[in-house]
Amino acid sequence: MFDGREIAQFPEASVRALGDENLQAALRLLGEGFQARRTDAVERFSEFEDARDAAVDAKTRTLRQLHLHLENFEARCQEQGGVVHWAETPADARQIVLELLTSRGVRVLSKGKTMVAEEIGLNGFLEEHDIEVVETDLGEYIIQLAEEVPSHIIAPAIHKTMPQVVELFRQHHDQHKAEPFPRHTPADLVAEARAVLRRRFLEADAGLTGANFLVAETGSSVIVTNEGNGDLTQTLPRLHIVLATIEKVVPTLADGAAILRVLARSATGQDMSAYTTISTGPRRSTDVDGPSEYHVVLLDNGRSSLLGTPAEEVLRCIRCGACMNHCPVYGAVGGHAYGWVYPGPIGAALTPALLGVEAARHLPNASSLCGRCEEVCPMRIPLPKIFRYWRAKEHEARLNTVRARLALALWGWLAAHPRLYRLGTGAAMWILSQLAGRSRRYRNLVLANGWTRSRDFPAPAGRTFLNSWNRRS
Amino acid sequence: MSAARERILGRLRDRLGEGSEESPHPSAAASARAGDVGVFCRRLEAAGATVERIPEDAVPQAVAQYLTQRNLAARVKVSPALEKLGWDAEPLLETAFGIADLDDAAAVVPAVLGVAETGSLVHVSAGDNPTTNHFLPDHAIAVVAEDAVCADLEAAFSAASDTAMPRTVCLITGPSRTGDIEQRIELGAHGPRSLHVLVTRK
Repeated sequence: MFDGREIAQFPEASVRALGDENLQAALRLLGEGFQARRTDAVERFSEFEDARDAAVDAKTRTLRQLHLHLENFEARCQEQGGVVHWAETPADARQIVLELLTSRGVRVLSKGKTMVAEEIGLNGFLEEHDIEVVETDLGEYIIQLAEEVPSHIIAPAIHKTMPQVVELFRQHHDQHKAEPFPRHTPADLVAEARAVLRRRFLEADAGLTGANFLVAETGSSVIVTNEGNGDLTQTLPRLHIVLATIEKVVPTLADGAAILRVLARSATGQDMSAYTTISTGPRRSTDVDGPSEYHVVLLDNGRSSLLGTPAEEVLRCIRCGACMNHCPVYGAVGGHAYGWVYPGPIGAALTPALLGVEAARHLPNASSLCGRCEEVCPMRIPLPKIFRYWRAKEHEARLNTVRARLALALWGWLAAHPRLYRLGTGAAMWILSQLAGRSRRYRNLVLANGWTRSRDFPAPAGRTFLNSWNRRS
Repeated sequence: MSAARERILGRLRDRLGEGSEESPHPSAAASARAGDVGVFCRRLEAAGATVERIPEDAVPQAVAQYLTQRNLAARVKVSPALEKLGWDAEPLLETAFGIADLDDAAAVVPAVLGVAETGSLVHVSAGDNPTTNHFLPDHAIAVVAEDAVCADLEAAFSAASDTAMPRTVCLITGPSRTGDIEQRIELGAHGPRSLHVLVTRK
């Protein structure tokens, strides 16, 4: 379970990640996997930029009047026989779920993929109360067997290689079976998980899913999946619980359509995920399946306080994972190094808001500000701008090192004195150029040994850009 | 929990002002624009489904042929909504009507709409159309009328929510799949491994 303490270890954890051969082998697949598929999907869809604008507009309008849409959602949901619960904190949400389960004698809970459940540490909490939790998304199932946490928001087991999965399945499945499953290809492993999980869906007394969005006009929850596990989870048991955060609501189904047009393309590079399911209330009197109870837990956990701050744009996020799939830092260290539920650029922007700048201060610094995340974000969230906002907060709160503060103070003073700045940089560039020798690179450079420890520093041309520009005109 | 509700909504109101409702985006305004059936079929195929266009009264025959081609047992669970398709015409095909269970390898299910934009089938739950049948069997054979193919998502949502919302409205776009092992796409994670679509004409 995530408790937030791991984030402080980001520098050490990322060094370990760089040396982890299995992890590096798994991460190398990002290029031909998620990245290439998204590129193809966007190229196939000439209206992609317009679709992005429409999706951004839908969420921006929603967030301006979030309270009204939440009240509408609640009213419509209740009209349809659903029950809405409000939770301010993770502890509140856990308690609500636990009470729903224990008061109905639930012993086995099947679960679709939900990052909010990770955010509130639900699995561990329920297991302490003797409720068995069965993860049914294949990736979530793999990491549940491995007793790990997700390392990616849409591909939780992306850090695992196939031989690692084979080993996990051997450990956990073989004892129940005389003849081991064949395990030669990924297809074999998918078939094995399918066979093992089939019965568990039917055994569960309750099913818990997240929501990709909630629809105010109909009081519905919507999940977007590929495996079909979410649908079995919310159809077969007698109780369906939806766990969603407050910013997930949109006013209408048409707003939902705007989000759907960019979600799968940005996430998996599909034009449309296999299953997009709108659930509204419990089963009707004439229905022969579906849950007899439908509950929605709305969690705030700090999101309401984000509105009106420079970081509020993170609330547009639709959790597609494109930012992490394209981030050079995520691609090098993977998700676990970030130490909390949401890794990659969106995690670096969101975690300080949820856990505080002090706890999460390393994450907004885990970026070269290259801007690739913002470029691929379907909701046009200005992630680098938000990193800079958190970095400034870190500086204001004096949480960064004395060395960094001194360097920034010196830089700030120089930048405020342009003549001195030009003189200083001009002289430095000239000296560095003169001393570079014929190789035109430095193997070792005082004050920049952090750089030269792992690569050479190219020698400057001898003149600053401003110098060259002035001579030219 | 109403205290939590008041505090959350109170914080939002403090930050956003009371506000008055903006006119909602017109999801109701979208008419059930007809969609291009050819586009619909191509998109479905691109999503990994197989598609056949047949006359309305040829469904039992097409189902029997498909099962034979796939080397599957000539036995299907049929959603009750499709009970009146003249199954007697195929005496060698064993049919049972009702809700699917773990023993059903194949099911024949109805789709009330198709969406040309995305190549999706629209399932709407009802007493004679259980959701389980769309997800539990290994092989799904879906029946959709070609004049039920609408243009885009908005049209489909508008039609599906025209009367009271049913418990489940599901857009099905191809067979079940996963990329959770080394990002390689495999079909048949938990839902159907194959999706065969019979597009019928009057």
